[in-house]
This record gives sequence, C-alpha cells and structure tokens, in this order.
Amino acid sequence: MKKYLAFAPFLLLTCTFSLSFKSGFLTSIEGVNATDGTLFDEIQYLEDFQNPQGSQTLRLLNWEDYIYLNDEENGYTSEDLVVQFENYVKENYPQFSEVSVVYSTTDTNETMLNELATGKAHYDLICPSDYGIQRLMRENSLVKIKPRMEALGLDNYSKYGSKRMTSALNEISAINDVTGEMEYLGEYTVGYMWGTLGIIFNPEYDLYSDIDPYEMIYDMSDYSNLWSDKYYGGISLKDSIRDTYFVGLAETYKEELLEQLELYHSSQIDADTYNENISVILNRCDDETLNLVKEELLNLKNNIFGLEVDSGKQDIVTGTIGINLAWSGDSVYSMDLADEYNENQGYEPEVGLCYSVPYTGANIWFDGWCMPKDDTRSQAQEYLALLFLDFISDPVNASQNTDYIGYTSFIGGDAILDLMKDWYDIRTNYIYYYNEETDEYYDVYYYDENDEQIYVWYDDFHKEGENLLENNPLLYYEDEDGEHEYLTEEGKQATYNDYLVIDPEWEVVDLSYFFNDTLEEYENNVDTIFYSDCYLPFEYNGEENFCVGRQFFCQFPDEETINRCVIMADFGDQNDAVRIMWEDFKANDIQPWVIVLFVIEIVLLVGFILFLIIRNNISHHLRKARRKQNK
Amino acid sequence: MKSNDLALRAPKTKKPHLVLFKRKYLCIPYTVFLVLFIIIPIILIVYYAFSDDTGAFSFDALVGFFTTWTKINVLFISIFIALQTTLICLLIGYPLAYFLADKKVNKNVVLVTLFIAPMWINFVLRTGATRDLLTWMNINGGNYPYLATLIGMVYNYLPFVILPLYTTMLKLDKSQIEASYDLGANPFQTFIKNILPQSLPGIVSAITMTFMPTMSSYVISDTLSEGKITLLGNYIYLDFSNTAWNDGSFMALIMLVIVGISMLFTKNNEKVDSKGGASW
Repeated sequence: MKKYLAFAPFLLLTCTFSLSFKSGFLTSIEGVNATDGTLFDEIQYLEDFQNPQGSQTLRLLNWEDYIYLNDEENGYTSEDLVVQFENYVKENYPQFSEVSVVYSTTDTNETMLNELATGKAHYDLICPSDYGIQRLMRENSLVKIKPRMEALGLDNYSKYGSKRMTSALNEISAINDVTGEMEYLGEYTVGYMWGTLGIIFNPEYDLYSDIDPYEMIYDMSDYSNLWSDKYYGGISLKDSIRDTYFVGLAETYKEELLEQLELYHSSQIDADTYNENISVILNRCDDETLNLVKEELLNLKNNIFGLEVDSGKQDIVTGTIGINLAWSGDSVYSMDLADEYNENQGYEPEVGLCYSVPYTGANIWFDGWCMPKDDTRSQAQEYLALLFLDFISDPVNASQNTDYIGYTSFIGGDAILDLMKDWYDIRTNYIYYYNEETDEYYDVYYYDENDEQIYVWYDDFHKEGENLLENNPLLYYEDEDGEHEYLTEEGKQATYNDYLVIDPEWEVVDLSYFFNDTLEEYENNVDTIFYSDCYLPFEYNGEENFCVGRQFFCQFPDEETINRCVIMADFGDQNDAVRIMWEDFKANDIQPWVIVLFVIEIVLLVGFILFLIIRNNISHHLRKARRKQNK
Repeated sequence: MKSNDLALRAPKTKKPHLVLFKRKYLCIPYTVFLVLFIIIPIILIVYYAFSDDTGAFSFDALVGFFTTWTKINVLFISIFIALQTTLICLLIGYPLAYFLADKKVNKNVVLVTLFIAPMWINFVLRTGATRDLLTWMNINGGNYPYLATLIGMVYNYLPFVILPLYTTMLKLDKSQIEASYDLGANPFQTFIKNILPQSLPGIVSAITMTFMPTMSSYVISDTLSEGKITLLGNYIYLDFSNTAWNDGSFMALIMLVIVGISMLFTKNNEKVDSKGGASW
C-alpha cells in the first residue's frame, strides 16, 4: 500500500496539469471561434497578439513552377523567393531566431482539396483557384486573412494589389454551410495570379494550309468555328471538366450572349451589367443545361484531335495540333517557345502563334492564397504566414515572380510596370544608353518593312516631340561609316516620358484599368499607356478583330476583353451532376466493327475451347474403352 | 542406424539463445506489408463501394454502375481492348518464344534480352516516346485512336507474354514432339495435340499478365488515344479526383472481381497441367 501511496503526489500533479492544460486548450479554441465567426474583433485580436518569437516553420502548398526560383542558367540570379523571405524576416523581425519555409507543391485543385479533406496534412497557406477557395469557404474551413492583415498594419496587398482585379476577386461570394451566411472571398484570400482561358492556335498550321491565316484568326474569335468541318482534326481540348464545359456552355447559349453583347454595344446596359448578365448565363449548370451542353460537346468530340491537360503546350509548337484550348500563361509559354524555335530554324512565320479570347465571352480565373483552419498552427506561424503574404505582395518581389512564372500577378506598382514596359512597350526598343563604366552603348533593334534597322532619328516619323533634339539628351544615330554621332550629351538614360516618338501605326494599349492607384513614381493614365505593334493587329475582310493577340495580349488583355470575361463559380450541389455529364462525354464511341470483331472473337475462342474439351473427352473415353478391352 | 542417430545428436549441446529466432519470423516484414498495403486497402474499397456519402450502407454505387449505360460502355471497351491486346500479343509472342527457345536459331540469350529490354524502362517514358513515333508515322490518336492504343498496349505488354512463354518453351519435351511425328501426326496435329498442351501453363500466365493490367491501364490509352478512349482505370481516376469515392471504389471492386475470376481460371489450369512447365 505504501508503495502506491508514493505515487499520490504525482497523480495529483498530473491531474492539475492536465486540467489546466485542458482549460487552456478550451479557451484557445473558443478564441479561434470568436475570431473566425462572422465578426472579427480587431481589438481582441491585437490584445491576444503577443509578440511572436523563436524558431518557426512556415508550411506552404502551391502549384508546381509557381514561385520565383534561382536559375542561373536562364539569368535568374537572385536567391529563391522563399529564401529571400527567410532573410527578410531575419533582418526585419529579429525576434524570430530562425525561420524556415517548407514549400510543397501539387498539381490540381482537386488534389489540393483532397489533401486538406483527409486532414492529415497541415499547411499555413495554400494557393487554390477561385472555385477551390469557394468550396473551402462553404465548408467553413478557412481563416479570415484580410482583417488580420489590417489589424497588424500589413498593407502591401491593399496598397499595390490592382484595384480592378482584387475587387473582382473580392466580389466572389459563397454561402458558408455552417453559419449559413453569405461571405465574400476578399475576406479570406490574397490574390496571387490571374489569367484567362482562351484559344491558342497556329494560323499557318499545315493541316489548314488552304485557309488564309487571317481568315483563321478571324474565325478563332468565335467558339462556333471549333465545331466547323474546316478545322476538323487539329483541335485539342482540355481533359478537365470545367474548362471544356465552359466552351460547350458558351456555344449552347450563344444567342443569349449575343443578345447581351448587342445591348452592351448599343449602350443600353453598362459594362458591369453586361458582365453580370453573361456571368449568370455562363454559370448555368442545371440539369437541362447539362444535357444541352453534353449534346454540343459530343458533336464537338467528333471534330477534334483529342483531349489533353499538359501535352498541349508542347504539341502546338511541334505541330501535332493546330488549335488548343489553353490558359493564358501556358499560351505565353508556347508562343515564346515557338518564336525561339522558329528563330533557330531560320523560319519567319507570317504571324506566329496567336491567342484568342472569343468575343461572346470567356473564362477568367484567379489563384489566391488562403489560410486553412488548423489547430496545430501557432500564433507565431500565423504571423509569419501573414508576413509572407505581405512580402510577396511587394511589387519588387511580385515582379520577380511574374518574370519567372510568366503568369500575370495581382500586384501592380512601379516594379511590375517597369517589367511590362521592358517586355512589351515597343518604345523600349528605342531606348539605349551609354554606360560610363564599360564605355559601351546599348542600342536597339527595330526593323522597318524592308528589314532595315531604324534608329531614332529626326524625320517626319514622329508625330509628337518636335523638339526632340533639344529635349532628349540621349539621341544619336549611326552614320555611313557605322560610327555613332551624338546629337546631345552622353551619359543619361532616357525614360519613356523623354520619348514621345510615336509611329501612327502603333496601337495604343491602355492598361490604366490595371495599374491605376498602385503607382508611386509613375503617373496614372500616363505611364500606363503602352504602345505596341502586335497587340490586336488583325483585320479580315475589312472587319476589325479585337479578340486575338500575342504574348502581350495574353498577359494583359485590355479592359474591353476583361469586361467579357466571367468567373466560373463552383458548381456546388451540381458537382456530381456535372461529373456524370463529363463521364458521359468521355464514354467511348463504339463503332459497329468493334462489336462485330468482339463477337467473332468470342465465338471463335469459346468454340476453340469447347472443341478442345470435347476432343479431350472423346479421346479420354476411347482410351478408357481401349484399356478395358486390353484387360 | 541407431549409432548414426546418436552421432547426429551428439553435438547438440545446450546453447543459450540470446534471441528467440524462428525461421517463420522472416515472413513478418511481408505480412506487415500485406496487411498495410493490400488487405486494408481492399477492406476500404469494399467499405466505400457499399456506402454512400454519409458512410451509411447502401447499394447506390452498385445500382448506379449497372444502370448507367456509359459505365457499361467503358467496361465493354476495356474488355475489348484487353482482349485484342492479349490475342495480338499471343499471336506475335507465341511463335517468337518458340523460335527463341530453339537453340539452333538462337545461339545465345542476346536475342531474348533484346525482346525483353523495353521492360526495364519505365512505361510512362516509353509511352511518351511511342506517341511521338506514332505521330511521326501519322498513326496518331487523333486519327486512329483504337489502332494507336492497341499498338501502345501490345508494345508495352509483349515482353510480359514472351518471357513466360519462353521459359515454358525451354522445357518443351522434344522427344514427345519427335514421337508424335514418328507416329504419323502431321505438323498441325503435332501442334494441337502436343506442343500446345505442353505450353499451356505459359499461355495461361501470359494471359493473366496481359489481360488484367491492360484493362486497368490508364496512361497508355490516355496518351496514345489523345483522351478519346476511356478505360475503367481512367474512370476510376476521374471519380476519385472528383471526390466520388463510392462510385470509384465500386468500379475498383469490379476490377477486383474480374481479377478473382481470372485467378480461379488460372488455378484450374495449373491443376490440369502435369508437366509443371513453370509459369515464372
């Protein structure tokens, strides 16, 4: 008995400990509930917020190839963005003794959601697409990010996030199944990348050699032509439900969409109403719609080359297919690849690969960071996650991401504008500068119609900037001996504003809708005007086409294009019905010869086996009889 | 005899065993593996196949499977493709294995190695390469989905047919064949009554190694038919990736049942077989 009594104090101690632990645990859970309900108590949150410190780990789940990585070979010399973040925290938040980021990747939204649903994986931040976020919100499994960032004064996203895009993202709503309240995505997510779903095609594809490239460009601005015999056998669609379903939907309700377009063009409704109306049409998924779309898609199936998810972006370059349903980022990738390939081959295509956002309406998608509810997350980790979101929303870091990934970021700001000007503004080609250290001139490549290089020169070619000689300190030209003659003093780099050299043929691309109110040194509506010679350049039979462009258009569609792009919400309760529709679409086309062949084979096989069995039996009986005789 | 027994017993002194080791303990790792990765998943499949979203017992998936035309369609095409692949592989592989096993034709094993070499390279990589090759030959999935799929399947599963047939053929009793000729049988009769029965175990194992994997194959049909031919494997994947666990599990169960049936078939044949030409 004494032996056992010795344990009593321990027992008592354990009891008290576990009790106190339990109560502490309970309050912490209540705390989470209080902050995660419909009301977010900022004061309470900041009160609870003790200065986090120590060694911490941040767990991220993202898509593959979806963040800046160090890649010296291709000229990405700075460290991985994740490492940059670790260093940033060490420098600016010395209370964290050690920060490490665990970065995992996944390949589809479904895998991401499944991984969360099983509850085995713990992440601080994940990056699903719009409908994935909606689904998570419905399941009440996300933590509100926006109020937390506001409370902590982390304002990069609200400051530099493009107002037009963030508001589009924020307005997506979902009804929380647990609380039954309608909530908006803006509270729960920080936008990362966005893009459109369109058609990439090769106007000079072998199979369509009898079609005029410009005719094809014109045709591709309409989904209906995918159904046309003209393009038989060269089209590839996406082997994913939502993307191909969208095309079927747009074709099924083409007349209604055209009606809305008509109303919009005749200014009876404004852009917002127009977008709202077509968004309702393009989000239908009732049973009747599903049947109609299925019919359309089954017809389309007979006209296509095949379905793919990943191989398309290569196939369009190698010439296996001529038309492909593609996401804007992948299209940029394919176009770059094709341009490089053609250059190496010494082949100059008339237009090159093009990307179309059909005129009846297209799909726009968003990927955003959100924070799943997780009991294992410490407050310090949460803080770290919010710091990370703030860090990647800094235009300088966002521009590294954009540069590396090729998709379009949610973030505006000077650094991004700089990058885009560098990539796409044709005036960039006119900017050269003298580097005093190396004593070298970096000049431009611009060719006129006769393939002759043009230097900036005082001729009647520029409309504005008559006083260019006086105003611009950098102007020079190359004389007959190939020597540079400087018109003005050396040593300064020109800015876009110094140059107002405008070819009347250039198109004016206004990206103010994206960049306004995010700029610091640049000026709204002035620096956000781009000039390009390949944005929407196509005309056929005298009709202008505003739906097809190249890399620049892929990455930054103009405002008109954005107006006809709709967000495709999660199918909600109809998810199963849509999946069954898709299964029907995927089912095989059984031709008569298949059945005939099958029946013949089965008959032959069964016949052969029966024949063998009967033969064996007969010989068995004969043998038995013989043995009896012999006996 | 007794002295011998004693001599055997003599050195058996009592040695203290530090570890109680029995030979059957060597099976533990595999047993653990079996339970974790085979038995538990099968139980899970059966559970999901006969329950609904809420986890309650239901026959929804079963009824759904047999009343949905498209699912029967996919099952039929899977069986069709599997049957074609198996037949073509046998037609090509059988004579090939026969000649490879003939020492006069095939002096060393280099030829065999050559035919089996593709097996050592991962089939996903090979399928990608096959796709490029077929596109170059203009037999791509866009134009001829069935043909392209069959070529890919046969290419992939041919080694699995050749190898068991080859090992069986090596053990063919040549004297029996000679005897049948001596007794006046013509080559056809010799083949039907002698060579074929002798090589039956090889054929059976070749069939089991081809038929089922073809039915459940997923990457080959998807890549080579450009998504135009959907086999049971594709459907299961589609269901699982859309969180339709129950429907997917039921289809997996159907596959299990077919595997079971084919196993029974194989077992019966092994009993018939007297020579025991090893299926490898």
